[in-house]
Amino acid sequence: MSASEGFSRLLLSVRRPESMVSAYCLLLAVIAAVGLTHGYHYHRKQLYPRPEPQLQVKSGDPLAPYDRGGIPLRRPGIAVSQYPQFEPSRGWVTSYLTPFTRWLARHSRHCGTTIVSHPGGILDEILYYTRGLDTVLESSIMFVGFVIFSWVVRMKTVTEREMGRRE
Amino acid sequence: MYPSGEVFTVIPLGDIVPYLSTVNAVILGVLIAVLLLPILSRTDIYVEVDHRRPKIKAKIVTPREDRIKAALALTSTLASVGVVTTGDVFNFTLFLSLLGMSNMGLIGTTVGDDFALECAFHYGLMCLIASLPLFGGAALILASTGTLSLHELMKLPRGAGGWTLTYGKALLTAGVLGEAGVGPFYAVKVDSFRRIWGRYAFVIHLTTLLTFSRFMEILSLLP
Amino acid sequence: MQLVPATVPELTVRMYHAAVAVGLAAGLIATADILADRNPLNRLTMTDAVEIGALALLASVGTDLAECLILPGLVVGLAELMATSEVLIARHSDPRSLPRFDPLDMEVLRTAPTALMIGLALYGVLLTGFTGGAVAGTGAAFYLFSRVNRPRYEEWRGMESLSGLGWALWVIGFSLFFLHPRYWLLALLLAGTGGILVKVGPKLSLFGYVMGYDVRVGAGDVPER
Repeated sequence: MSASEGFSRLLLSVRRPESMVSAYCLLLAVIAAVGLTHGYHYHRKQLYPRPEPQLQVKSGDPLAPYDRGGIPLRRPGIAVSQYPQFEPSRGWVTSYLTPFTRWLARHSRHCGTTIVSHPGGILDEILYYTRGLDTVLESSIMFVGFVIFSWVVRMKTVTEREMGRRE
Repeated sequence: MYPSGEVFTVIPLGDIVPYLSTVNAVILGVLIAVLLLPILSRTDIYVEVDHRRPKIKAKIVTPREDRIKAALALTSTLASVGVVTTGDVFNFTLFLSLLGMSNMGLIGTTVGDDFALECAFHYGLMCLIASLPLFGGAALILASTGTLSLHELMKLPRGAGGWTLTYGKALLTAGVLGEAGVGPFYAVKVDSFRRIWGRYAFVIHLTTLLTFSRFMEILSLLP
Repeated sequence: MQLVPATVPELTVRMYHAAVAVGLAAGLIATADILADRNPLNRLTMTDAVEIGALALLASVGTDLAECLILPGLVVGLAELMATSEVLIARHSDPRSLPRFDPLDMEVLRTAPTALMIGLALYGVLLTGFTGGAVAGTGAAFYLFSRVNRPRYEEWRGMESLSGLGWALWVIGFSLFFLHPRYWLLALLLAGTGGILVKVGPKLSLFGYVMGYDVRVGAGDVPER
């Protein structure tokens, strides 16, 4: 086997799709191994800071980990965002609670654990308003994923004839 | 001063502020002009000639396959428009994920070619694995500088963030290499991209390459 | 008590150093495993471990922003994993070799799924948002899993367009936030209730519907009541 033939055989073995994944993983493993040997710096001044973990829970706040101040529909809550000048109604979503959540907060001390599943609160402020484009994109990615998934199922995994069979 | 020239317009969407500058506008123009080519062409029989073993392979693309490929090519183009205009690091990674996803779908929806499925599977694996360096890089940039907006990152002095930011940039570069299939992986992926068997094949090439040229601009923006 | 501190507390910073190391170590272990084994199924499952590393790195920042960035990260991984695994199934499966089984003819299988679906859907509507959509969708998926009751594809097709409608509602809510900031409450309810509830629920139910085709059923043997 000549040198050029060996070289082209090497190139052929590399161009298989599974070698591509292996080569990429090798690159990532090297980068991660380098990263493990260093310390990391943290910038203390962050956007949307939150209090120390468990601080609100210990003080008995009914909206425990997600209380950011404000009164629903009266006073906006605190949201330290990047561009306040582009967000005229900043903070209102943070302070908003649905009537049901308000009732729950009065009668239960653990309302904060369910607040993520009701409209209103700091997470909804970031997800829908200040960084809304991220969430719209995320749902579009899910949309494309489902389109590919259902198309492959209908055309390949289960053929059209199987799909239309009588049940 | 932006490295991509004069800024024509900004679109304020809360914390995410996409902008259009000279270089971005040129990239965008190329993207839309080239997308017009498959829209205007009406061919639907594709021929592949193998020179080593004299062999000719022809394929007729069914309207059904053509329709899903048109939809996915449109998504891919829209995603790269987002990649080119976005003004936020995390938003950039999400647009890139959308791009990788629709490119994977373009390869995977080829009918009557088992090797296409093999390629699509491994491209999907690449996209999945690349989400670690992409999101991890964005997270490290956020941790070391306290912001994700490119407009703010640009104003930071040189050397801000230190090793953490450098490492974040390295991770981000690795993620873009994997997700868009450029650099050393392009030579491998070209074989998968050929499996599309149709007029949308060069949409993939174009979007991934323009994505990387935009990433070069982001790298020069970061301190 | 101070609700929102000016700078990130000391405890979060200490946890950050550990979390970055954990994320990188998870990535290193998972990528090493993918390198070592070429079995496609093993590679697919190990990419989930890679995702965990990505989520750990995102979570290490420890602010409210980081908590919100986890959600897109998680969903992107989920969607890609689903499409990729379906491509793997299509590559290696033969539609003629699907396993065959005979369903049980039991009273409870006919009545319970409907009751459970109604209960879960009502609870999902009460919760709203991502969690509510997931709960309602689980109810619908369970209803479709119980194969005796499964409707025909043509009857269930409308759910797909419903999910597209939900996506459009959400985008309307998002643009309303910036076009008319005074109507933020309407926008919030559109995005939270209308958008996500309608979006996540039908998708999970479609998922359940498609899953039913993994098993070939002799449903014709069961008498309709």
